[in-house]
Amino acid sequence: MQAVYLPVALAVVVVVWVLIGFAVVRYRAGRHDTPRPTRDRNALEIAIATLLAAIVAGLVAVTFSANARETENDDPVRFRVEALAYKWGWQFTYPSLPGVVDRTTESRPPILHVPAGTTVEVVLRTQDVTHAFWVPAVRFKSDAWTGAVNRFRVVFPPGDHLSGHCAQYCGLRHSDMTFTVHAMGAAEFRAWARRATGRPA
Amino acid sequence: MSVVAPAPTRPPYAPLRGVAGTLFATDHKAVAGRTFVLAFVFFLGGGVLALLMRTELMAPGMQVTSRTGYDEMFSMHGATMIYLFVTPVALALGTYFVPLQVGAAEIAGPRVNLLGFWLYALGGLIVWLSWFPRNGAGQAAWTAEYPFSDSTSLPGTGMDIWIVGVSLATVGAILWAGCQLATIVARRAPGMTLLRMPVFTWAMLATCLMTVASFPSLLGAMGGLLLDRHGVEVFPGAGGAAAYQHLFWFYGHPVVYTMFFPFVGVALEILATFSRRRVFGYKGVALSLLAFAALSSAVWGHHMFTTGQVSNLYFSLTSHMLAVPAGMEYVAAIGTLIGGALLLRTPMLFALGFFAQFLIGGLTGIYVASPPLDYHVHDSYFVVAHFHYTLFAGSVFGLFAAIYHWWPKVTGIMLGERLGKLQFWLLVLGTNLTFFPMFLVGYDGMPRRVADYRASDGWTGLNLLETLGSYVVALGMLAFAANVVASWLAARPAGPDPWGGQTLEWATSSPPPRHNFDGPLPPIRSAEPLMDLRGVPEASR
Repeated sequence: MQAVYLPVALAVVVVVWVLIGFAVVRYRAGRHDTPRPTRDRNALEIAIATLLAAIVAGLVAVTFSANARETENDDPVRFRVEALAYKWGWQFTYPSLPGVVDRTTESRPPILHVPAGTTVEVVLRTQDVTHAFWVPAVRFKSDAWTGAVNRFRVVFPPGDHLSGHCAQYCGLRHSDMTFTVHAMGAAEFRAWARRATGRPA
Repeated sequence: MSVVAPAPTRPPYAPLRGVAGTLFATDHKAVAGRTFVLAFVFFLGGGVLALLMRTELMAPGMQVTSRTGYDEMFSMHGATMIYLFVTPVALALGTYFVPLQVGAAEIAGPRVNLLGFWLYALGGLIVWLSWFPRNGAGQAAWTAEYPFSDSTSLPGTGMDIWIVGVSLATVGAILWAGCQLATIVARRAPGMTLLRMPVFTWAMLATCLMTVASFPSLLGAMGGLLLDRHGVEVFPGAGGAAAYQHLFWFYGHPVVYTMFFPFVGVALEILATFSRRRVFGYKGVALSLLAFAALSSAVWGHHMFTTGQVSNLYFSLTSHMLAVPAGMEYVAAIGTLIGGALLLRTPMLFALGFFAQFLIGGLTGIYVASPPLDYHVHDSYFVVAHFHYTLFAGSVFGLFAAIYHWWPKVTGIMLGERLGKLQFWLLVLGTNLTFFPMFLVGYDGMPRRVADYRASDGWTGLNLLETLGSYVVALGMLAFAANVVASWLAARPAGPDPWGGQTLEWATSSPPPRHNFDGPLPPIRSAEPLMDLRGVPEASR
């Protein structure tokens, strides 16, 4: 996505700035003292409008296919997280690991434990107002919408300290409503799950 | 050709004098002037809040205010700038200049127009009085999103009176827009067909159409919110919260263009005037403004991509389409410059700065119109950077272009060039230093509306840069204040037409008389009647 949008944006900036700069230098009074009578060029304008529409159509096509990849991900879900947002903290539970709870405490933000490199489904709810679950490292966020459940699938890169934030302003301690994602390799994750559930190795 | 002067009649009452006479004058120029002055008072207030916030964010930890204090500051900053500064000032430009540009002696509905000012003034005062109740000012950001804005999360009268104040100011804006529309429809001078209206008047026509079509939706949201806070269940459950956002953003996106089009119009006129030729692509400009305005009412859902409550693809498509009419405004701007004889006076610099810098805001707007990119940057500092490039690097530069261009017309005296250019360069430096790093910290993960961040986040350096930039912006504003005072003291008379203007406002004295034109109007045979008078060949359109 970024790989398409950024070059297009930069190209437009360069074209427009160069044209403005050229006009300012070349047609500055003193160098060019007799303004040319204005002559509209409808064919040129229509051509530029068509070109813009074509660029837009290309961007829309790229967006639609990327959106389908991100939101209609049909990979089998390997692990599921139930995330509950509330004023002002997070509670993460794991349906396959009954009894394991990671929750915001007075002293520290919670750690969300997930396997890295596989499809994780997050089932997101809120207990009160609207919050948003954002992990910048996966370039994705979703609102925790009042009275609704938002589900989405993400693949976390490995990392023991991926930062997460509430992105939707929710009042007094919104700034502190952070969490950390600990995304582990398969073996490490199994070991953590055994320790967390208290099952013998 | 001449205009029939109205027969002098004696008013049935003694005209008010002194302060009352000033405050209750129905002359559109007086109403616009007062709106302008009051809007700048609010601009100062909102700007001081911005500087306080930037100072707070200069380093991790809380140094300036509390978390609640910060929430009040950014809520009041956004509300002040949008409801009480840019929207009123953008519409006030039209209140002053639309009647002049169409050759009318008075705005249509002068008393309604005056009522608009009083509703705005009262609303603004009430919004700012919301600092005083015990629970403090409105703290729900400028959007007052439900359910965060309900009486459970934000109890107290501060939020209530904030809602009332915002609603009153919004009714005022609708009345202003109605008066301008009626003026454009019914008060054009003989000869001024729609396709001979100045570009700025076209921009105001599109602006006012959007304003009367979309602002009532905000009144619905605010009215519902006020009822909801007092025991009526207006927005229940998931659908209710979505309904609030639909009502809000149906207003909230078109208002972005209400705060933009007037400056496109004036900046194009300035490019033409200071290139000493007629605007390029006149019909294309008018057509794309209308297309832009129409499309603006179908894009609001792009503010809701992460909610899971809207059809993201539809709103992504309509939002991307905005790039076509926006691009055509740039074609007109560049087409006007190429072939001209450019005089780089202060209004021209600000108009060029407006187009050059707004481009960054516009292109990042296409970025956030793409859901897969927006899922990442939504509600981050990237978005803060994006809309400040449109509203500050764009609209405020357009506003200063308009101020330097029309100041001699309104006051009869010239602003200084040296301080004007100093102000321009300080603002260019400060604006980009403040807002460009926000793209980077936002993309890196800094959420918006946070009072604090951690040193371990690694955003301290860029935030420091942003804060220093905001102080440079403040210096630029001081240069403007100095310019106003210095020009007032020097009082260099402007004469009726200091710039070689093209449209009818330059065919009358500076400031214009009570009924705008004492003598007969020049013949109107094109969109630039004063160019015709000077014998400039007509544009082939």
